Amino acid sequence: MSRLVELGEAREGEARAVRPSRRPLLRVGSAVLAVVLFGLILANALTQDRYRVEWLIFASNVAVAATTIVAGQVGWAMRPESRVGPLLVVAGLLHLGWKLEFTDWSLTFTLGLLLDRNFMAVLGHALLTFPTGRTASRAERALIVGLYAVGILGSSLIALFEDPTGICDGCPRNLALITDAPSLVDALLLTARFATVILGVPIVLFMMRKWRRGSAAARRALAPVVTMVAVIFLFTLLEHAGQLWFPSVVDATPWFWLNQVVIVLVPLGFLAGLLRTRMGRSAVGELVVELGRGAQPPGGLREALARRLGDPSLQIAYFRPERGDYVDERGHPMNLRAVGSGRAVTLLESAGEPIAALVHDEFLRHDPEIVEAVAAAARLAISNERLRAEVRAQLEEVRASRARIVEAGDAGRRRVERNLHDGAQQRLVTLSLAVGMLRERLDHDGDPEIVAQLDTISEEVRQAIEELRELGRGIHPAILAEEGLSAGVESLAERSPVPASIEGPPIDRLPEPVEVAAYFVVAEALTNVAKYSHAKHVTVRLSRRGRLLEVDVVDDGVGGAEPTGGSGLRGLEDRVAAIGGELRLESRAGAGTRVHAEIPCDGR
Amino acid sequence: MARTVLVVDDHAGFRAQARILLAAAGFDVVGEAQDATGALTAARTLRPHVVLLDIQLPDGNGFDVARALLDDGDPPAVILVSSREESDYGAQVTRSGARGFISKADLSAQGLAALLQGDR
Repeated sequence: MSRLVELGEAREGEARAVRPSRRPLLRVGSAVLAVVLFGLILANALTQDRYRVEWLIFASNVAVAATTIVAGQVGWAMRPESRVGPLLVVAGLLHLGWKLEFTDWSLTFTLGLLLDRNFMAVLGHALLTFPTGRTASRAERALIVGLYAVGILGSSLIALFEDPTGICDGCPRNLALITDAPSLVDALLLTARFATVILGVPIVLFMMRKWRRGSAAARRALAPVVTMVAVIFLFTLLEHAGQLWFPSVVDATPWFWLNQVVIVLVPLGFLAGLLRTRMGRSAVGELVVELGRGAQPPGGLREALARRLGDPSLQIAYFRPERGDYVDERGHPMNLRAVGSGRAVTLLESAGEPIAALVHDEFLRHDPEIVEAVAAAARLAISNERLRAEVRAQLEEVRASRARIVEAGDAGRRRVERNLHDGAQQRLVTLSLAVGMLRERLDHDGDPEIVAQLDTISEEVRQAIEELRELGRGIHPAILAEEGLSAGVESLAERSPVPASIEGPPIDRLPEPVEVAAYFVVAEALTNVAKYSHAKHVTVRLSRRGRLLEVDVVDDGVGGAEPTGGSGLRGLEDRVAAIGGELRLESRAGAGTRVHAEIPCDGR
Repeated sequence: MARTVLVVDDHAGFRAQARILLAAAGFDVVGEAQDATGALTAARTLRPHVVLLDIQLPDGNGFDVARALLDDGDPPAVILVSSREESDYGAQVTRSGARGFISKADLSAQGLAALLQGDR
C-alpha cells in the first residue's frame, strides 16, 4: 500500500498529514443550529411588524445565509479533508446570527448586534486558505488574525457604544451597551474600513501568487473562487461608479436583486472550487490503460503521471535500496525532506519496502483517492520497470559472460597453437634439418640401405610438420592475429579445394573476437562447400555495413543443406551469437547454399 | 671470401643445426642471437652479409627487426625463417623488405644461396 505522507519543509501547517475530519456530529449539530436560528428569526419576523417594510431585505439576507450554510454543509460532507466547508458553515451561521437583529427579545437582538458582519472575516479566512482551509505560513496566519480583529472592531465593538433605540423605533434594548457614543462609533467604523482596505491588498497578492504557482490541478480548483472574487470586485466597482453618476439605477429594485445574486455567488464559488479539487475517476482509468500499453520510454512514466494528475511539475523519486536514498530519473539524488513549499510527497511501497515516491503539487492532497489510485498504477508500472531492468541486467550479464567464455576459449586455443608451434614443431624442424644433414653426408659413400632409411625418416618428419601446421591453423590461425581477417580469409580461399574468389575490398582490422568468429564462419562454410556441395565455385564476401560486419559465403552447388545436419554451423551460430551476431543459412535444394553472418563490430 | 651469416632464433637446437648446415656449405657463421634486441646489436657490431632471422622472437617479431636493419646504411641481406609457411603471414614478408623467406623445415644451403644470387 502506498502511504500518503507529507515530508515537506517542517513548517507548521505543512507538516501535518491531511486527515479527513470525521466529525458528523459537529456537522449535524451545525445544521440543527442553523435550522433553529432560521426558525427563530422567521417566527419573529412573521409575528412582529417592525421590519415589515424591509421584508425583501430580510428574505434576501436569510437566503444568502442559508445558501452559505448549505454550500458549506455540502463541501464539508464531500471534501471532509478540507476545512473550507466548516468555515463556510460558520460564516453562514454568523450571517444568520447577525439576522437575530430581526428578533424582539433583547438577548437575541443583542447577540445579533454583536455578531454583525463578523461572517465577512470568516469568508476572508476561507478565501485565503482555499482549498485546504489551513494556513500555510506565518504571513497567512497574521493576515487571518488581522481579518478577525477588523471584524470585531468594525462590528462587535460598535455594539457596545451604539444605542439602537435612538434610531430604531420599537427596537429591543441593547444589553451590551456601555454608553451611547456616536462619535466613537464613527471613528471605529472609519478605522475598520481603512483596515479592510489595507488587508485586502495582501489577500489579493496571496491569491495571485497561489494562482501563478499552482499546477493545472490547483488552477482547476482555484478558477471558480478567483472568478467569484473578480465578479464581486467588478460589481463593487460598478456600484460605486453608479452611486456617483447614475444613482437612480443603483437604487432601483433590479439592481438590488442583482446584488443579491452576486452575493450568493460567494458560497457557490467556494463550493464549486472545492468540488473541483478532484479529477474524477476517468483520469485514473486512462492512466492505467496508458501504463498498461507496456514499457514506457525514458521519462515516459513521469510524463504520463504528470499529464493524468494535471501537475506538470510532478517528479518521480526512485528508491535505491543499496543506499537507502532517492534519485530522479537521471540518477541525481533527491532530498524528499526539502521538496519546497507547495509540494507534497507520496511514498510508494511494495511489501513494506519503499520503491519510489511521487513529489507533486500540494493541491493533489485534496484528492487522496486519485493520488492513491495513481500511486497504485505507478507502483505497478515502476515494479514492472524494475523487473524489466533486472531481467535486462541479467540478460546483459549472461551475454557478457557468454562473450567472456568464447574469449577465454579463444585465448586457450591461441595458447595451445603457440605451444605446438614453439614446442613439438620446432623440435621436428630441428630433427628434419639434422636428418637432412646426415643424409647429405652419407650421400656419396654411405650404405644405400641407411640412405633409404634416412629418406623415409625425412619424409615422415616432413609430414608430421605439415600435419602439425594444419592442426595449428585449425586451432587458431596465426595469420589472423598477424594480418587480420582479410588476409586470413584470403589464405583460406587459397587453400580451398573448390575454387574460391573473394569479392569486395579488404576490410580494416577489427576486434579479435569479431575476426576470429568471422574467420571460422568462412573456414567452416568452405569446408562444407568442399564436403557436400559439389559446387564448381564459391564466392566469399566481407563487407562493413554501419557497425555490422557482414560475411557471405555463396556457392553454386546442390544446396539443401540443413543447419542442424552436423555441419558444424550450429556451433558457429552459438559463437556468432555470443558476440551479439547472427548466422543464417539459405540452402534451397538445387539453388546453392548461402551462409550469411552479421556480427557487430564493437566486439563485445 | 666466405659470406658471413648471423643466425637469429630463440631455439638453441635450430641455431646449432643451422650453423652446422651453413658451415658445411661454406658459409661463415659469425654470430648467433636469441632475441630481437640481441639481433640488432649483433648485426650492427658484426656487420654480417646475411642475417637468418626467425619471425617469432621472444621480445618482438622478425619483421620489425628486418625493417630496423634495412634502415641502417649498407644493410645486410635479411632472410626470414619460420616453422610456419610464408602464406601464414600474408603480405608481411614482402612488406618487411626482407630478401626472402625460407620455411625452417626446408632450410638448405642451396636454397639460401639461390635467394642470395646476384649479391656481392
